[in-house]
Amino acid sequence: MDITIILKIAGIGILVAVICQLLKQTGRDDMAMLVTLAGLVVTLMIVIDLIGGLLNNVRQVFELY
Amino acid sequence: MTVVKLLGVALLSCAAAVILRAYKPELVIPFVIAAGCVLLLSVLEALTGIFSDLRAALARYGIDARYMGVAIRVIGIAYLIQFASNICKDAGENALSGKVEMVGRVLILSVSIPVILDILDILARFAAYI
Repeated sequence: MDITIILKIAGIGILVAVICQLLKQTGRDDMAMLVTLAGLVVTLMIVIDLIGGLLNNVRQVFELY
Repeated sequence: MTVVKLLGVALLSCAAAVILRAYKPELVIPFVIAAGCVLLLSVLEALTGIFSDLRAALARYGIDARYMGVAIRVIGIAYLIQFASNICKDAGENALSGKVEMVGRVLILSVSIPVILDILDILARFAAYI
């Protein structure tokens, strides 16, 4: 029951939102886009590991070979 | 006690998702998937105990273990399909969610074919007496 992953992803999301707002104010919209993409990639990497773990667990518990 | 903890985590991630949706809608989907995974993972351990008890009980009554295996597999498929289709619905992709559910039905049918054939055999044998 490690909720640290949820907090980590929420933190990434909010951090990306803040940085994007900052970059938009200073007029550098392209950088804001890159930061959003980076946040999305990092979040997806974390989520992919989690989904892999979940699917393996389900496969063992329910014998879905 | 675990109910309170699980509910706390669910509500926390729901609140965080609402906040995240306000600023960065594209980051909400991975976040919701991660929260769902954590909740499901925390419940999975309990299931292994339940299934072994059920299997022991069925063995005591002499019921074929194969049927229990099929039942467990069907529950697993339904478990995953419901998880995926709810996430699709949450993302607004209702068409995709319907397709995922249709795939789930086909998979469950393919798993339960042997049991259906057994039932037909029994019925045929039973009909012979009438």
